[in-house]
Amino acid sequence: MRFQNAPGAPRRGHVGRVLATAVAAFLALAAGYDAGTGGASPVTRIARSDQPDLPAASLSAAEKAARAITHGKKIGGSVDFLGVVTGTAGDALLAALKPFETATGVKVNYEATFSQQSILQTRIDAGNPPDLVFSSYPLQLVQLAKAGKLIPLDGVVNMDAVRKQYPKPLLDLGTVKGNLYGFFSIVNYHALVWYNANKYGGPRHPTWAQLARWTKASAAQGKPSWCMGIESGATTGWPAANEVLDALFVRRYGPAMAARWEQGKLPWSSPQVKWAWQSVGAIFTDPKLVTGGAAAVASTNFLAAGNGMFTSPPTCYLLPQAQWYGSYVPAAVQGATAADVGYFAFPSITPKYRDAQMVDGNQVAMLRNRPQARALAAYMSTPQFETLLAQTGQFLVPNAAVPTGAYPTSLSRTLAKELVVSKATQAATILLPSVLFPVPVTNQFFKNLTSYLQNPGQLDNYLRDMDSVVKSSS
Amino acid sequence: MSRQALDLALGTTIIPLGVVAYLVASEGAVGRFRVDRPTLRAWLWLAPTLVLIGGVLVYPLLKTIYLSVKGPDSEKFVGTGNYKAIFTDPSLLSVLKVNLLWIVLFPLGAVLLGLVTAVLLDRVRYERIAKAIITVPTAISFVAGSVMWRLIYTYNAPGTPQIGTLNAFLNTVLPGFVPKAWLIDSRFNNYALIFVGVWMGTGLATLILSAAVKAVPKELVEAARIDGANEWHVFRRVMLPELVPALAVVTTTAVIAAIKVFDIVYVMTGGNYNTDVIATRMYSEQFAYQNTGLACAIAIVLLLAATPVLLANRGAMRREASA
Repeated sequence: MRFQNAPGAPRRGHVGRVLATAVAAFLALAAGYDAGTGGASPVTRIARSDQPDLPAASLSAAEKAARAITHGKKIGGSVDFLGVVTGTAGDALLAALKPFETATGVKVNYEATFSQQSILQTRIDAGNPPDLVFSSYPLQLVQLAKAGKLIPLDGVVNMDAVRKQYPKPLLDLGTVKGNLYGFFSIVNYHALVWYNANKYGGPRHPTWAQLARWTKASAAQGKPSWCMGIESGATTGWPAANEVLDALFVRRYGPAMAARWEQGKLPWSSPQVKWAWQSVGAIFTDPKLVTGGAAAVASTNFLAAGNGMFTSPPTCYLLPQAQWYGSYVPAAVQGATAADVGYFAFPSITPKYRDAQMVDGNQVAMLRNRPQARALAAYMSTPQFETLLAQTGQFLVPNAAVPTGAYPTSLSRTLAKELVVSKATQAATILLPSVLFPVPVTNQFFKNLTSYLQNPGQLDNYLRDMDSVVKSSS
Repeated sequence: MSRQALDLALGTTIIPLGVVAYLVASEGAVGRFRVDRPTLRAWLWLAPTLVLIGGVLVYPLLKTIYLSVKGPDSEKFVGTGNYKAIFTDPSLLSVLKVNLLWIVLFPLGAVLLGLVTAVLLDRVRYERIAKAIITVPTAISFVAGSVMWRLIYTYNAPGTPQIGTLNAFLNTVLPGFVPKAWLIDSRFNNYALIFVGVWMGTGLATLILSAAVKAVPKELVEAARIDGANEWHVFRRVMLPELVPALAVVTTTAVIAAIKVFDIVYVMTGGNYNTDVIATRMYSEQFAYQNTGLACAIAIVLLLAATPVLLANRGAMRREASA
């Protein structure tokens, strides 16, 4: 059973189409095809097939929750719902929406697109917005809320329950001027380091300094420790940016400094950002530390990046990647089983920033105030719906009222326990910096980081270039 | 009724019926006016097409020109700023340079190989089979072909198993060969990309040139041979002059393809590692960097660069048809 918000549900703009490509590549790979072209995908209507079987008890609990929202009335009609989650994950989402349709008689017209951000903006400009959106672009939602294009959800969802069940930092991201405009119902955790539990002999919960000592010792024996592959079509570079550079920066300088960086107040040419780039460069251009050196890093597809951990003998031992990787491995990497997969949180650098959890995900927001849309938004905030999502094995969900036992695999249960349920990590949840840069900045970030790994000597030029993109896109 | 059913009805019945109704009505109107009927009738019949072309070609073109003198968000007027940037910004200049490489090498490769195969295959009995094999890549979409070639060019670190066909092959036949990152190393990645274009373009060139070779009068060639011309002279003095119109068509077509090449670069390198060309840059300016003004300016430059070649191509085609 795979379990992920498909390699990070796409955000064609704000994470700069990164994860869009990730999903595209993942789906293509699942079909036995090497992908990564990151092409613009048209809107696809999800066919209602291959939906996972969900426990009858959970389904009827969800139906009951949906009936309670409409006070037992079959209100009928339909609701236009625009999302990015597609493929197997899309089927899982629809399966979890089914009880709502049965209970209320409302037909959910779900459309998934990797160009969600531009399609949403176009439809709003044309006066034809969808009723609801399942957005991967928190910045866009905030802008839309400020522009008065979103309906506040305060009177729509059960606010007492939502406040109690959802992590406050995540709710804050959808709150504008005291009103709730969006809540996450799927989350994807970044800043994790994966290893093969049978082969990796290094420290299991190291600090950055301890890990550096181990990788150096390993290099001295001629064994590169790190696996890395950043090839991802038009968004090549994101794995090094999102999973390493962002993580290094936050672990050393913390969320407040990251916010200054995101808002353009901390220049890219500052010593802090430069340090993060240099740290990434020091590892991924050195063939003693990363398998194959910079050329292999650039030409290896991100999906194949960790394969070397599972060969015999392994060619590398550690892969920084988001939470989806854990369930991707047993499903897609030859010779690997769920039991082989281990992970630790990105090593700590400055102790007080050790726990910062970097996430992205999908937020529910409402654009038309119709009874059907209100009912669906309310339904999607219930623990019953979130439980179904967890049971599909495709997603991590942020609702704390979802029992950890709902997840179908032991790895997903562990991830849920450590990342979602733990109060400490909940409080330390922040959005991945790459999600919060303006679109042009994120895209240039990936591109320049990719170039930098080939020409480390040009670092200052790349950073200056970043500053000029920040300036022109503000 | 669902949206799709409505669209279908619109496309299959309402629009054609509307056009027919319009034509019937305008015919009725022509009869009633005492004007220069042939001219009026011609314009009335042309009108639907003109509206269509105006809507999908002229209007977008004018709008693109308009947007190209505006800033990234299409609000501030920037004059020729975007155009200036194309010819002064170092990163955009390097894009032009790469495109120039395509414009020179792609037609050269495709036309030369096409000519050689067309002329040589004309002399063998298995011509049809050989020609079929050479034209197969033409039938593959550029995206699919690019994906294939990405697999062929795949690089793995020296000392690990080489999954890429090219590196694996060279590794086997050349002792001591160090695998090359064909798509990443900017010393040769553009040539690797152009080669893929040539591989896909040669088939079409062969087809057109082969037809032209067949059209060279047999008596001419025989007469030359009887007069003592050797094979090189037959080719150089007799066949080649007859092939000039076809060569002009093939070359100009190839140059246009090189000017607007997109798929190969987009799929294989995404424009990274100094392989960006005009069309991929236009795409990324619009969709990755949200700079509508610059993207539109690039589109106009692309159009202006292609127009003279397009005109030459039309002229060549007309000459070829009358030859």
